[in-house]
Amino acid sequence: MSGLVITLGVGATGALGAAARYLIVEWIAHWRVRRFPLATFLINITGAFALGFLTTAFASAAQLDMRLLLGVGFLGGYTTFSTLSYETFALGRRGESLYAWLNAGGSLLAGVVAAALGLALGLRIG
Amino acid sequence: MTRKLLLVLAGGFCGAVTRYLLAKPLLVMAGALPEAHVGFSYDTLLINLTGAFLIGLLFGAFEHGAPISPDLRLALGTGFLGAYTTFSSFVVGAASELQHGQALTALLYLCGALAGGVALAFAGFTLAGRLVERWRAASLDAQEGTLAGNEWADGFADGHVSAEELDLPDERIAALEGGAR
Repeated sequence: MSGLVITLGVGATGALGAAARYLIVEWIAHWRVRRFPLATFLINITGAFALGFLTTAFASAAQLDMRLLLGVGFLGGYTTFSTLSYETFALGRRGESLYAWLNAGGSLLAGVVAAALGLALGLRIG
Repeated sequence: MTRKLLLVLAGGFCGAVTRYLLAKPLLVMAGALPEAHVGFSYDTLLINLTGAFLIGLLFGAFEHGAPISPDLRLALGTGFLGAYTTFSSFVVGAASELQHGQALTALLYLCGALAGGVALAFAGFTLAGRLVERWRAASLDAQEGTLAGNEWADGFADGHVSAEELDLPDERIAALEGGAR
């Protein structure tokens, strides 16, 4: 596909990813977990797993467009680093430093494990 | 709900396109590799760190009472910056480094990037507080005694903004009160 079409496609799938994130945040808000930013955590971990899978399961050059649309677009828009950073800072600012460390360490650890599992599963299936 | 969703979609579109255009050269290279080895990436790091600073600035300005509507906050924060930055490529890159035996690189990348992100969110938040204070003081200076057309002074005149929130010397508060009543 041409560069412009792909760029617009990445924008469109990225928009859908951001919308999916917003809807999940709104949905999880009903669970009333107040002290821990659970929604962003779950979104980032599931997105990390999915991108790991996509990277190895659809690794060929012919599948580049698909990786761009789903990986760079959708999963890039779905997961977020800025909100993770801000929520960790906000926890620290409110004096909840234990939860701030849990959020930072837990997101990194669970994220990298989920990504590695996704990469390994994709290798088996792809 | 529909309006909010559209705001997130619009912001998310722009955020994803911005990230793609900034990171495109590296992605094309990575895609050309048969193994699809996506490791440590300066593009993703740069995008994530600038995004963390900007979200601190935006949410900080909002919390310090700058005239940012909740709609704008949603479109720029949840939509644009949420989609501009990305967690998935960040950890997949680190996991890939790990699998290639680069454990130290992966650990430094993970911890360094998030520590940097949190520090920059804090820096943005603090800077926003200073800027809002300065802007408030400047707009009061510009309109000393007149009150017309100034949101903060108007808020003070209607009683929405307290003397504490204005954070001015007593004689200035007294002058404003004199102008208002």
